Amino acid sequence: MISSIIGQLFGIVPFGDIVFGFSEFSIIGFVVALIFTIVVYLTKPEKQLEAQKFRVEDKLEVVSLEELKIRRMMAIVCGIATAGAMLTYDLFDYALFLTLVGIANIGIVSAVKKDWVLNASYQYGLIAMIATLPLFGSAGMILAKTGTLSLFELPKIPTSLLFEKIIFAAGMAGETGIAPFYASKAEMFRAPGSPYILMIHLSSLLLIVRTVEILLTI
Amino acid sequence: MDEERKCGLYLLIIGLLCTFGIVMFKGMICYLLYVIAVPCLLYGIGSYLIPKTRRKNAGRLPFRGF
Amino acid sequence: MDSSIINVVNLTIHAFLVGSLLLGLHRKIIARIQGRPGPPIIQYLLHTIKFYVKEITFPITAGNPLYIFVALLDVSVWLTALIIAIDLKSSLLIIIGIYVLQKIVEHGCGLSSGSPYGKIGGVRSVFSAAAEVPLFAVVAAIYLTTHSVLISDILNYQSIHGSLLFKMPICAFAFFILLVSKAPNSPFGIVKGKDIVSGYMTEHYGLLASIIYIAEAIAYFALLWIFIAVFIGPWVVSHPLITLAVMVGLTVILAFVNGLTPLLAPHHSVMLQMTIAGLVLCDVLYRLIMGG
Repeated sequence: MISSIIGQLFGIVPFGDIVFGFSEFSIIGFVVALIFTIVVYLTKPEKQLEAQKFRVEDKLEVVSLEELKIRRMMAIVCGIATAGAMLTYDLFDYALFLTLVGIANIGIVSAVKKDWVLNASYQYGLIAMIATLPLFGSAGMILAKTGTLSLFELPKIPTSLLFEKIIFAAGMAGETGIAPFYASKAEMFRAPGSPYILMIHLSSLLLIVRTVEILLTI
Repeated sequence: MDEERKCGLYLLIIGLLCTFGIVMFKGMICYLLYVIAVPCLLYGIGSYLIPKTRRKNAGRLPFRGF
Repeated sequence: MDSSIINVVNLTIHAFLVGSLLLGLHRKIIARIQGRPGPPIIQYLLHTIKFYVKEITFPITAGNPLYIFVALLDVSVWLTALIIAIDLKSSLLIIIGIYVLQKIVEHGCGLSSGSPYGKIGGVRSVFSAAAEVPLFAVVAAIYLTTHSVLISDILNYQSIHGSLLFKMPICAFAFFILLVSKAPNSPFGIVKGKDIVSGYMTEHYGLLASIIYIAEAIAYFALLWIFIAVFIGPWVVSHPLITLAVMVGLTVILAFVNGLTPLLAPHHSVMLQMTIAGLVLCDVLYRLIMGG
């Protein structure tokens, strides 16, 4: 049943309740997240050419060293959280990783000293905070209904989880900032420092795919 | 050696190591190594085929006022 | 050495050549629609080879090694798609992940160079990702019908029950919209619109452009193959010549769609794609309620 979605399952690593699983899908996701984290660590931020209002010449925007350090750290935290979210097979764990990615995303842009970027990240932060309620709420409801949160056990229990799945999808949409909520997040991508901004995009897109997998499985 | 060829050299080494790995190993890891090896070899070989740049200010963006 | 790797090498070269020629044909047909003679069909291939031996310099504004890495990642990503889809016939979900990585490549290419045109292309790629990824709700509908998202299982299902094109026309249409968005000169191609020079590829020239061209030829082949396999059926993909014929047919349709439509403004493009994604979601909900 589970292998008809994620491909071959190679093995699991049980840490007590927290179960990590290795399938074709999760290995590819994990490797991609790790490679990106390494590249982000190695890359120097680019210098952006910005057109100025009422002037002819353009300004070269440089990311300063102390800004770079905090943003790089948050980007690495984001990458590790994404890699963890790819491997975990526990619903509550996954929701935690999702919120951690949301926090790290705000952290990546919060060091930029620009009005519109800070504004966008504030709005995104509000949505991400509101979205944690449906996210953890649906995890709690699934636990109350079935008595387990393990993604290996849930498909075996013949209960309809349609409502919980819809709430979970709504929570994920708010947390990763896709379709209905993308307006504030797209504004965040105009900040200089491409490798760190790239991490925001990568983490949310990988998490969407993983959520689709989870929603199809349970 | 300019920066482009230096990157090319590193990538060529990675590509050749991966090719060596494809010959040595069996199973799923071959696919992974193949996927890494092809683009590395493409850039690595290409960086030694391209001519040296003849631009005066190499790397300047052709954008107004800069 | 695994003998399967030789198959994969064969497949890669096949995909590159066929994809290049199909893209050349696409360009030729658009030219004929517009009343021009157009370049020869092998023009895309010639471009790729010509750029492969052209000089490159790294812009002083670029963030290295991300600047090179994204171009190489493009090839890796679509090679993975080839292996997962055609060689292993594995999960469609991984294909979504790969399409998502393609969006990351566009974004990274645009932003890492530091050019203003590239930056706009990168930000637009974020917009279009927000609209194109929901189109993959198609996979959920397919799962509800066939009870599997593995391509091999979908092919088996179709050989018993007939092709999915007539069972889920809305989903086939949504996937077709994805093909349209990926094809050159498309109405949804806001990422590479001519108003922003070449979009994300503006500062990737010479050798790096050639590498991206190689990846795009493979991508075109892989996406067409996936569409044919998932919606038309196993009798087409079982023989390479029939596959080629159907691919040429699809390319002609895509060329007509792209040649006769203007480039949409970014917000209109996103809105239109979102509307189609909404249709697919309604279809999924209908199947969920009627089926379960």
